[in-house]
Amino acid sequence: MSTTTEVKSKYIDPVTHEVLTPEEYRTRQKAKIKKKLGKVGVGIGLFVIVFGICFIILYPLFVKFSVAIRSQADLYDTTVIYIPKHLSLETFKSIWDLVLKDQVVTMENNIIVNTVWTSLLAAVTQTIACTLVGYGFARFKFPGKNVVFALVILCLVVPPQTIQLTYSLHMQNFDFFGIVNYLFCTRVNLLDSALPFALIGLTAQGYKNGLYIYMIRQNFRNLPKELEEAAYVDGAGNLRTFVQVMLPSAVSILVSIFLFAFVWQWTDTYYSGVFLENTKVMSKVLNSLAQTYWVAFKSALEQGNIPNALASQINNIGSILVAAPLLVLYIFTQRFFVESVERSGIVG
Amino acid sequence: MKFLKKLPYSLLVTVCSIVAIACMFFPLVNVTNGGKFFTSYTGWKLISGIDFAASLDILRDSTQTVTMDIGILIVACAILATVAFFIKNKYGLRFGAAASGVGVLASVLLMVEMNNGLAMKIAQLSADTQYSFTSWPKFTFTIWLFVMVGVFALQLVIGILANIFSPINEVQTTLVQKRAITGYLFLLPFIIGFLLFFLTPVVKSLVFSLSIVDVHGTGGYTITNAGWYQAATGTIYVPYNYYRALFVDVNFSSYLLTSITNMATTLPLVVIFSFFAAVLLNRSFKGRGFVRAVFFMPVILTSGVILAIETSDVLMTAMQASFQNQVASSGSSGMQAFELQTMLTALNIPEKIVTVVMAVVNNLYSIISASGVQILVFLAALQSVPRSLYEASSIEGATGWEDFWKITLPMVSPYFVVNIVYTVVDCFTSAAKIGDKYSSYSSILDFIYDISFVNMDYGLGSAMSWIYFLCIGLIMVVIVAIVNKFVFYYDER
Repeated sequence: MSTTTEVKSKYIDPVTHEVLTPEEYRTRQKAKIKKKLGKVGVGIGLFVIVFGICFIILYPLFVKFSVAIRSQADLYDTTVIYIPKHLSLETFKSIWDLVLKDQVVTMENNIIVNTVWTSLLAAVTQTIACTLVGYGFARFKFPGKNVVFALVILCLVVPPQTIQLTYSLHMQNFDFFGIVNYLFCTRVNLLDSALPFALIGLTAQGYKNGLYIYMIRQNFRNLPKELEEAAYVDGAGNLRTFVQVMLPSAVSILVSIFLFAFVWQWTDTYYSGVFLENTKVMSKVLNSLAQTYWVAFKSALEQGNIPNALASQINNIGSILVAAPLLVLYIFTQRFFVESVERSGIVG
Repeated sequence: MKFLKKLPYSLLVTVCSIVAIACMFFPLVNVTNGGKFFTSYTGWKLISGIDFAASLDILRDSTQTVTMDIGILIVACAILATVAFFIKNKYGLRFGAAASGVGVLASVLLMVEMNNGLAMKIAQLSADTQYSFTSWPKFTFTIWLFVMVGVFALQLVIGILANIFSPINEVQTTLVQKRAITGYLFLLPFIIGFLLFFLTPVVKSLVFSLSIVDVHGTGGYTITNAGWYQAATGTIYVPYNYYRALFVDVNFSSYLLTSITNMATTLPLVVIFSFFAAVLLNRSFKGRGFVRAVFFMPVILTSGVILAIETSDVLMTAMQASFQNQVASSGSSGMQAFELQTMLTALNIPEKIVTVVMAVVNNLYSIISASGVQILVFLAALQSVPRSLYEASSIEGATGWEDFWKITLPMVSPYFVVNIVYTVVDCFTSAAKIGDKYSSYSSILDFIYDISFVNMDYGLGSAMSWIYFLCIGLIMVVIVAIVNKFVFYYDER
């Protein structure tokens, strides 16, 4: 009896308060340590992997900035790898002077206004149309639903480039099934205006709209049925239920879709190539920035090929110029982006 | 009005169709050209576009455009008619009539379009420059149009009357039907867009790929049927443009092969990586918000022009190479690509495996940046797995490992199909590299773009894109069919 009390004070399980023999106690302790070590090991492994992937993603961005802010002498200096010896914005400045200044300062055909306008228009119209269609797919039952959804997927699968040519001809001689032609004896040329973006946006035919429809459909599908039933019981119609009850619970996915649409329009070269011939947008100008710069730079002297290093620096600056506003936008909206993922799982 | 109710709807449709067909042979227009005199009928147009075109030299060019538009709209009308019939059977006469109203609208559009196409052609024949409406008898068209409209309007009116005067109980709309109609209304933007901005260009592009296209400076174009053209060998008959794309053009087939191989290597890597990353991001750890933000950043930053600039950048590549060399030469123990390769070779691992591993390691960045959307889809899928399943399994004493294989993976498996489809599409449509660094095109689509817009060979360009699309479609169907065998569908809603 006396020995057990002695043991009790020493070998006792902290959780179950069992009295243990020394051997048992030790094995339990070992198991505990093993478990803890395993957890730490997994934690470290996880950290290494996550850190590594984050590094891989952020590394090019870092390199871009590093290349962009160095002086031209540093470009050819092999000892300079990441941190430039001479910080300088001279290339920025000369690009501004030679290429961009004329296109930003003028009132007509202003590159910034054009880019923001087309991107906003495309993003807004696509978000609205895809939300309507996605909601229709998610919340209503009707014959032929699967067929129409298959068509949505088909639209996503056919590469837009396949129909690029006919698309541009279509927009050049735009006609709503020939009615315009019959009434006014003319076909409308929609090229070089923002109308095509609005039209294909409003009819959910923009870039990767099938994906948006799919994502929105998924999101609405997971909302509980009771939500809209309650609205119907309270006397709300279909439209009112949609606007006042369903939409507010889908804000984060809508913001994500808006972000997608905006960004992909902002950096897009395909649709702006098809629809805009003389209208300048940022993605198109920056795509050929190095060449334009070189032509402007050399105009007085003889033409030649632009040095690789300089071209690369200009390209880096170009992509920074395109990406910087998007980066800022992303920092402000990424909350919704991450939230939209969390929200999809509401139903549990 | 009771007889109207008893009048079978199908009979009504039949009568109207017969009248409509009769209307098609209503004399449409007379064309005089070089002393020859042609009388053209709408119905004849329909047929001649397909078969009799060769016999009419003058109208031969013209029929192509007309037939093309007619074809598109016939398809559209057929779809609408089928839908109307379906709705009528399922939801009663009232909805059938509504749907046939839509059909009427489509028919009117069809006629207008046909008239326009023909008018354009006639104007071309007579003036041979811009389309003008001065030289064709608009009057005839107008009469004909009114007749057609009248027939279809009659159909609509009869349908509506039959509904109004029939006993209400039979065609009363139920709540389900009302919901169905609302559903269609929500889908309307897409359906319009599909017909106007997808189907029309797709069919036109298909026609282009089977024709020789001459583009005029004014934006008009004439196309000549070259569908089954005599091939270069002189003995076999194959589609002209397709033959040129596959057997005459030197680069196309090799580019095609390269992009398919690229896709084959990228697809499994991207799908597996994105699943792995989603599982990782689904765990809770400190700074998860930040890590998620970083993981989704490539979706934003490596798209369109930025990606295009990146792939063509010289200094970037050089920088990365120098980074690798430096670490390798300084002898630090970093798992750099070069070291890894020597290590694997030293371990007597077969060279083929080493090559594959090295390809993965070297393409890590492009794989990560291509899998943003897929991670998003997988994450949403992981979130939607019911918690109750995990609770039940933990009561049964399952470990986390077993949870993963028996619950997470099967529940998420349908989304593998989604992601595979998306990845295939993305691989094929984005600026994926083809060939070596020195190739002047960043992707096969650039090459096709050059063919059609720089060389102005629209027919060839269209044919190439169609071959390309068929390859994508075929590959996708095969992969999805295989993967579907392993997919577990928990709840088919």
